[in-house]
Amino acid sequence: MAEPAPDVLQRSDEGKITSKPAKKRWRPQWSAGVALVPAMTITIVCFYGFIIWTFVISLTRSRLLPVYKFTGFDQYVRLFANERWWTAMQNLAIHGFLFIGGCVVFGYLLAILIDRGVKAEGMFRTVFMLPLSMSFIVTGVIWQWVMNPGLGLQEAVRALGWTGFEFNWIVRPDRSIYTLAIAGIWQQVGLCMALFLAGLRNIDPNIWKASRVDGIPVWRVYLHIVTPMLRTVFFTVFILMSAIVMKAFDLVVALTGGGPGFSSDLPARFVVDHILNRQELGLGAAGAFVLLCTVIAVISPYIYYELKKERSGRGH
Amino acid sequence: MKKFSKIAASLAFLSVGVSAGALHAQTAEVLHWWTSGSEQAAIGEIRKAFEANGGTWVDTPIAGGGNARAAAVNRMLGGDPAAVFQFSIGQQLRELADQGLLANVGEVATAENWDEKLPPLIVKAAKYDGNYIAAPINIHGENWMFYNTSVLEKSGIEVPKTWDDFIAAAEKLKAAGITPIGLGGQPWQERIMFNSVLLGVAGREFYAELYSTLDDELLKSDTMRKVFETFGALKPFVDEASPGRNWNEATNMVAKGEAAFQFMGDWAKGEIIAGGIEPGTTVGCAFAPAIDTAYIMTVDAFAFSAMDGDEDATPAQTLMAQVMLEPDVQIAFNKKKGSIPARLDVPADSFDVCAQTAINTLQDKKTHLVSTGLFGVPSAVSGAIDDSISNFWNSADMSPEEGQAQFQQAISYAK
Amino acid sequence: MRYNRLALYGLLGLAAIMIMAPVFIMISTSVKSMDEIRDGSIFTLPADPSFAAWSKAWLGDCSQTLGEKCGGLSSSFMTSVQIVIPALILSVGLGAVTGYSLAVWKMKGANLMFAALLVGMFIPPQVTLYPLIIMIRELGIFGSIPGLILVHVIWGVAFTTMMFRNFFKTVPQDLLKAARIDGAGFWALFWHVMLPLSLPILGVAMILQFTYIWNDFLLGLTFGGRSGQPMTVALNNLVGSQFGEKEYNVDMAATMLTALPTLAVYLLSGRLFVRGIAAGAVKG
Repeated sequence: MAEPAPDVLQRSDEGKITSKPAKKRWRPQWSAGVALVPAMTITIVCFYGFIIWTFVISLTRSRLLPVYKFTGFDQYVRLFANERWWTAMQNLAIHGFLFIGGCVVFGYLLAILIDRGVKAEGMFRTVFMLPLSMSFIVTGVIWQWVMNPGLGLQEAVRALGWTGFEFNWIVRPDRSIYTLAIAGIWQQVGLCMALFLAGLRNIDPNIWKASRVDGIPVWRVYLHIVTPMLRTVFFTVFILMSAIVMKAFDLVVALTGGGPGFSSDLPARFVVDHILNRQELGLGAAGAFVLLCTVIAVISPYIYYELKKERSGRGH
Repeated sequence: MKKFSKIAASLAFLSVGVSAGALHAQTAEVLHWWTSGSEQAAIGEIRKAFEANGGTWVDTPIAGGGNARAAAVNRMLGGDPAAVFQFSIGQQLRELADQGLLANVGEVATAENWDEKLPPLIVKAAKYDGNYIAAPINIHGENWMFYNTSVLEKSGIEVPKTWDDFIAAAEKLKAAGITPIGLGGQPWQERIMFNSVLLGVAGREFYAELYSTLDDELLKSDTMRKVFETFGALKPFVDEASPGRNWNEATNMVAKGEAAFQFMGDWAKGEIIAGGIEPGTTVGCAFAPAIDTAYIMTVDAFAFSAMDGDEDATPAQTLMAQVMLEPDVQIAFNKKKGSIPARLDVPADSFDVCAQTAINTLQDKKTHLVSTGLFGVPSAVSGAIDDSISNFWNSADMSPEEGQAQFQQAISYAK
Repeated sequence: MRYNRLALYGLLGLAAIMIMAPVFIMISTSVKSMDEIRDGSIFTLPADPSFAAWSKAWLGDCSQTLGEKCGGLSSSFMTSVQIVIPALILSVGLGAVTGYSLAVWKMKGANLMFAALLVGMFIPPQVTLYPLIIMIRELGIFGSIPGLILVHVIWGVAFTTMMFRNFFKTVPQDLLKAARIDGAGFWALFWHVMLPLSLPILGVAMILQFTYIWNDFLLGLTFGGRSGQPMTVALNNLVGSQFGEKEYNVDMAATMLTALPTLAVYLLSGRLFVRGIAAGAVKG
């Protein structure tokens, strides 16, 4: 465990420390170190240990069970020759962009609408957050019905007389990936709304007074003044939603089953499918390792930037 | 749970030397994926027989084959195995045996002469190192064609015997506003239809050789291209809402006359019966069009865990294996399950028309073929087959040549 | 201005309808008969609402099953409760202590540790089942509720730590100084100052963790053993059979029943939730 660095707290009671025999005293900083032991053990053993294990297994010919017969990078050669894998990776980019973007945009918009001072605010908030209580499996099942062209929305609108109405994305290989974003946004938009709303509530009311005096239009205040102030909210939303995208598995299984064909597959489902159903542990591990590396490559610069920002300029 | 296996083990110890069927309590936990009404009724028959012979059945149902198989393997790895678990026979099971995780029931098998009574292909898949590590209990057929008889009559169509006839009939039905094929557009269902086309166009010998050798020459052959041409020609005959549909919804389309045909395994009979129709009446069953007669078999089987690392079956496991292949149990179980007995020497007369056809067909061993779903080929290959077939089926602009090339490539990477 | 208000309510109303529609479909399907479902549109109202499917989903159908359990959800409800309560307390508690330690006691490398921990949020648990199984087996708690609880703590700690750390970062330095001058040590500061301050964020973390753990299927199936199977496994047994007949009304009723506890938590605590976040979970 790292040696506690001198900091505000320590400096604040330096006088006390020097007045006592400091060496014999159990320092609170040590307790802080001890308190970190469980979480750090989990981080090192489970997160990083398992990532290393995954890498090791990806170098073997394991099928149903882990075996340690090494074959070099064969599994990666197979993985990269697999068309389904590339479809899944491409889908990850599309889905990640649409889902995170959609949650941010719609969540922010809903939060702004509510923040304009509506009656029955509590009701709207509750309604928007209701889908959050549903699991991804349930979300997938419901939306599968709604988007099924023979049963759901398309049929219902046509029955109302608009016979040319078309909403058949879930059965079109070139569109099915978008249905995942729709269902995902439906489920998570409430959480984003709540996070943004909370951020908006923390904005200093004087800003609004000042901008009214200056005659700045409301939308410009949001865009140019309020939005930059909510950067940490955006950070939290981004991290939470990216984690959901990377782990997206249940939703795909329940909504499209990856289909038609494998047009709406995502890497997490590819990996789980190969490890648990196809007895292709080695190949699945290779996919998992590539996925994790991708995640780390995309996320860590952002985390680094945010944490650095936090240290240099705290409190807006 | 550890306790359970301890109890089972100590009971096993106590009853060593006592023949199976003795009155000693013999406890076995049974992990399986049969959770729907008719499936529960079917496995209930085995349970009844097991308990009548003094066994105690501890039931662990987990819906979904994938979930149940994963749970069975994970529990073995975790040191808390279920004594008897449903699994697919073939390569995956042998891999478990390789690790010493399975018990063998060779003693019962020899005593009951399974080698003679089961189809040779199934015997091969259920054995490891010359010993039975699983009890195959039934045979489902995958090359069935279910059809709505009144729809065919109204359109003046005979049950097609060749794929050319089928396509002609489908054109006619489509013109009349009926969906020719009720298809659930999920990879495994698309593969079932593909294998029916493969068998129908290329014949049973080609089918058997293709999937036993996975040979590049065969995969690249003209025969194979013709298979892809025929399969591709079926694309216009399904309705728009097909992708993602469950198989039973497709069966209901046929039962209601919204669709004329469905290519599906014989478990579809259960759904037809649930809709109040006796199979062979309003909804007829026939083999999918083919140049010769064959039966694509898929098998449900139960395997046995090595309890406390012991690769000899416990008395409870032995009793279970014995009961499962008892002729009376085979009949009772399979009538409820919609399949046919794994033992070919069981009288056929009490089964429905479709099942009788199947039992009679299988008397000729040349008709025996394996499904690529769960038992014929390694699961990696099986997955690659499903992926590439499904991709071909769902890519409107992919030519048969491209489909064939992709199929060949996927298999050669997976094997 | 009035038109603006009208547009505002119009938009919010539209969003509310779009979000509620799927929930409405579930409820209305669950009270229809199977014939009605086979023949009708999913948007039509039930002609003759019946709660038969709900009672079947909850109690099961004893005529169909193998005896000791009737396949309903009721039998595993208590198991889920037994899993979720300790898992919730432990994972949120550990997250609180870790977040507090990382945020307040500025040790060297605290930010690095935090960043390292965050990676845990991005690992799909299904991918690393095997090493986890081996680990839990070696600890001797595989196939038991304690084993499953530990697994939930492992996969929950990254998320809960993030919530608490970001919150504790916003606590004014003056407050901490004052507490330290009064002689408060590590644990005293945590118990008497920080934890009471963090009640709102505690609520948020609890609610979200509750949702994750309650809705988990795979971990429960793998690590719970025979006696530790949560409600979602029973739900899957009810609705997840691939080759059996489908009863969509029972499926929907079962799904709603499984979601009821989380639904109730959201309905009852919606206000607390937003207040909790507003209290500073995301302030810089």
